[in-house]
Amino acid sequence: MFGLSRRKFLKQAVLGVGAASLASSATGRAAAFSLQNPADIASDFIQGTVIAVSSTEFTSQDDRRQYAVRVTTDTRLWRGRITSLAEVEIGDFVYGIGTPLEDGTIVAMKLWFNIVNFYGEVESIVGPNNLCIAPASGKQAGFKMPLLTVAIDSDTILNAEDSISSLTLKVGDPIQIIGLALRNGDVKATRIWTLG
Amino acid sequence: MADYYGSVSWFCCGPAYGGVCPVSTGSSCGDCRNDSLHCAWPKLLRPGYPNCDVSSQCISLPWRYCGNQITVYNQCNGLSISPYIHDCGPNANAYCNTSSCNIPNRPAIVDLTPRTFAYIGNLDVGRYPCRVTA
Repeated sequence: MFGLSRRKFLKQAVLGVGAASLASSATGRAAAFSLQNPADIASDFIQGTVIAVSSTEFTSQDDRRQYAVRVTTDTRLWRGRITSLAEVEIGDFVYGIGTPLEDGTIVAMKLWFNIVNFYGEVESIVGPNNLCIAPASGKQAGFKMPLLTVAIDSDTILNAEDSISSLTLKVGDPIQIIGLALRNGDVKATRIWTLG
Repeated sequence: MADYYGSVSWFCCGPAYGGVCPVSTGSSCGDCRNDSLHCAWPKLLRPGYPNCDVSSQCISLPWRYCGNQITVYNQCNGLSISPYIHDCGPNANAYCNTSSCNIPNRPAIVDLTPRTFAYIGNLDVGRYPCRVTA
């Protein structure tokens, strides 16, 4: 766990792992706390990796199944911004919700591709457009985590609605970052929440 | 049951750095699922195992058990959902004064799985002020 790479951290952060889970793992104790209502199992939830994409739908695969997801004009599709299926690529990771059809296809209502959500502290400010972030979860767990480069631009939202510049933040600020995971391992921040 | 005011975000079940997050993971309760109506609560009783409390330095919250149901109201849009507690967090002690949707000074008191959060908000917004009945 001490040798976690930046790429691996981001893969987890894309999946939201960096956000919470503060007590030790209780793997193997599922039976003792198995109070889940079977009806809660999702048939309307989309989570997986894109393995094929066309102009109107894509195929998602997770650790259990493979299914088609249809995108319509009513679908809210996010990939760093509200956009269209034309920007989605094979290998993207997706979360979403929609309406399942009898053939297993899900008609998407909301989709998020390559979304990152993690906490951290501003380690340094690199020019006007980049922050160096120390992920918070590693600090809580006593790990030395790799620093992350987070890009900001005029579209990055600070808290509710303000636009951001690197001058808005200072070293040591605790922040939550929502953004797009880039293929080079960096993150493009689309929203930053100041915490503390 | 009583109402508590704070902010809500989303997370992935399980140990923070335990590898790529699958649909089913360990977590503090052992059975948290990202595709289910599950959530994390920062003051968790775990009989037979160490309890988890990451909120008392910031806000007085009730102890709850794995499997307890709470209701989360998004105060920004009026939507609500009733997930089941299956993990411990968020760290309200560290994030005691969050601001979202023009409501300041709210502690982070609940994290929802992506599926749960998507019903009451957008993952790309990431945080909303909330009222929790617990």
